[in-house]
Amino acid sequence: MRCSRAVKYLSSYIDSELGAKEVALLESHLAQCDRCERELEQMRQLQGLFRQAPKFSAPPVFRAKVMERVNNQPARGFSLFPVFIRFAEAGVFVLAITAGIMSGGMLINAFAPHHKGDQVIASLSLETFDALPPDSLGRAYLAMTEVRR
Amino acid sequence: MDDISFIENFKKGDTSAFGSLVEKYQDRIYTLCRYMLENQDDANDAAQDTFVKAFQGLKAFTPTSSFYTWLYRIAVNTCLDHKRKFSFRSLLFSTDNETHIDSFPSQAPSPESAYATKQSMQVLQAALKRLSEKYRVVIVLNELEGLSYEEIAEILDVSVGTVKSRISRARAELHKNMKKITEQK
Repeated sequence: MRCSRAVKYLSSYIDSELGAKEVALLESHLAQCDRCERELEQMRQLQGLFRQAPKFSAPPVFRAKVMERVNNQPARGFSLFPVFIRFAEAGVFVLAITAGIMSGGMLINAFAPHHKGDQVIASLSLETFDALPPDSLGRAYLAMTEVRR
Repeated sequence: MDDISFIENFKKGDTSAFGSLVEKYQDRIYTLCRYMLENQDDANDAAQDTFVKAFQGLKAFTPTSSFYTWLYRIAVNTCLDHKRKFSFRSLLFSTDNETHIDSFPSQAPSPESAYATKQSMQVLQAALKRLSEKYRVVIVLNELEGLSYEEIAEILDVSVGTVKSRISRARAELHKNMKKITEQK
């Protein structure tokens, strides 16, 4: 057995959760491998610490508090209310998304009407700048776009 | 009386039978909640909530699994819910980690070894706190509650292979955390 496999078995080994065949293989490896043996020892030390970890007692009035709570509970019958709430939540969510999309569309239509499109294009035109030299790239571009129109 | 008898009596209308179940398991469930939640008040609330939920579901409980694995499952889920809901409170108020250690009854033979054990426990507690929920719960159930891999798998509704893998990784993480904490001191 190689170390890479042995290391994976160590945890189950100290918990006595390893099958007999794997135990035999692992113990055979541990007899020859200091590194894995050290790893096992570290796990055992950790386990030892846990065995000393404190166990707590519930507060003195714990049982009384629990019984008070369960005895004061209203009788629970079958109710569709939780199901209704879930559907209502989903419905509100869908409405919110739809309202957002519709209002976004209305805003776009209000602030960007079609007849303003030409103004936008004109403002981007190279003709708004200083006259271009005849042999420039800009003049060539203008010539091309004039032909297309 | 065993758990099945208590449950049968409860189903016949004897509410005090549930009280007997609370008394039987309250310390174990409270301990689990203390290690999962660290804060004493949160642990008390979560432990009480666990039993209240168990009361609500007990009429429908069928003994296909053992009562205590069913109860532990409720406790684990309740603790995870508490962690998510009340993590804000624990940011504001300091945790009572020192109380954990101060209440530890030392069985060490000398004051020096008692002090050394206390130091080691503090490091272990701090390292445990740094573990993710997924790893902390398997380590607590295995090392502190002494449950088998199969029982833990039933509680968490995962395969035994998953439990094995998580425990192995949790131990490696714990060891790494403890080394870091010790080096920082």
